Amino acid sequence: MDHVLKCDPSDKVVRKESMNATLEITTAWTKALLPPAPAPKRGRGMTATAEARADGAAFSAAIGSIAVRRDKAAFAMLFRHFAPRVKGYFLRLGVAGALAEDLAQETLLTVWRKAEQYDAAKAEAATWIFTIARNLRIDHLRRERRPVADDSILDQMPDDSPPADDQLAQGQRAVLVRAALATLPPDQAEVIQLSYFEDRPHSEIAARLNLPLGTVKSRLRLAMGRIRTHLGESAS
Amino acid sequence: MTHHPSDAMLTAYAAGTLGEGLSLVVATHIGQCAQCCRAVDQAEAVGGVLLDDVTPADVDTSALDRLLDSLDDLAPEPVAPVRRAPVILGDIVLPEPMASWLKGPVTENRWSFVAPGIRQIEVLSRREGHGQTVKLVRLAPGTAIPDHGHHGSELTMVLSGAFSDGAGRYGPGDVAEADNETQHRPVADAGAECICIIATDARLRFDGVVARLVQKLTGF
Repeated sequence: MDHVLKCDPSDKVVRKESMNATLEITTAWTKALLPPAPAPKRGRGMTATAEARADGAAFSAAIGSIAVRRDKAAFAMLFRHFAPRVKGYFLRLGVAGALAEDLAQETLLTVWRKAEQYDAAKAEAATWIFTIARNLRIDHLRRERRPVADDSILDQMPDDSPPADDQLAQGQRAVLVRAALATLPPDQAEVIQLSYFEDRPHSEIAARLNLPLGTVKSRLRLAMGRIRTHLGESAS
Repeated sequence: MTHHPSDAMLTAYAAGTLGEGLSLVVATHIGQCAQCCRAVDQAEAVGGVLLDDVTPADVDTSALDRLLDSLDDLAPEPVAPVRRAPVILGDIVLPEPMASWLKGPVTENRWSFVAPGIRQIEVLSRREGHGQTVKLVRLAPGTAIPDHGHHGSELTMVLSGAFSDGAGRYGPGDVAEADNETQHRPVADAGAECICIIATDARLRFDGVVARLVQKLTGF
């Protein structure tokens, strides 16, 4: 792409402040809109983990509410939380500011249009929105079609091996993935970050890190293996 | 199934950085492999967490009001069950999503000659795939693809029959992964024709003079 956003260190401070502001707004909205039934109650001494899980449940419920009632307040809540993050995701991938803004808005509009397709049992709100943003990027920036796999095999073959993560409570999987990511050694965390935030093949990532391709691949294997272990151990 | 795409491939597919050609093979494999399907699902969850933890950017505050006003005009997009005519090749129904990339039935005149015992249909041209290619390849029983290395990544998925290279034997659903550190000479089983899809993101590196000539003629 022609537009490459250079990371300006002075920008960081501004972003931090805006992040805090966004978080406050988000929390306020989440509290105001938290549906009484499905979401766990927010206690005063709630841990960060429980809080994240409650947020996740609220976001999933908001998408459900759009699907059922075309709920604009739920859309506003999702927008305030996710639009800045989706835009941040595009910026990290080197998309220029104005385009990143447009794509973030389009991502959220797609959430509105496709809300009926969302299945809270299969993916967290953040995961689903990530796939929408990813697909928009492939479509708009790579100008390619994305081959979509038929995932019905997971329903058809329950005995292939235990679908450990499927049994995890809603919101629990994201907590475990986040915990697993936090335990990764720096060299593995680095290739994970580059895999998601650099739109380039692993051979180029390897060249940039001055490593053999095999090393990059094995670090990814170890990292994903550790995440799988975290998910598997907690389910059994 | 004993051979699967690496975690690097599955993660790149989930992250959306793999490119159309290689993604087509990965997507076709995970439609048949619960283990890899689940791995991609988990890699997407990693994407969800990374998205949630990204430094939020400032968003135009008037945008939300404008969007809210426009929502009523946006028709919801319900789940559309896609039913395509099955693409048949001999005894097999070609798996999705690969089959729909073929753009129509596999007729005899679509096959082009590559070398004795090797025929192919171009599924994705280098131009369409921004440097990546996908070919549906038919190897007559016992046929070998000449010994070659790779400038980039190559994924080969077997649809029917089997082939072997130095790393093992590959049957239906299996994926052989090669990269610039791999040199191999795939040979189809003697007993049956082998049909596979091969995706690459760079040209192959043939060492033999004849093989290089064939490569020039066929664009392999």
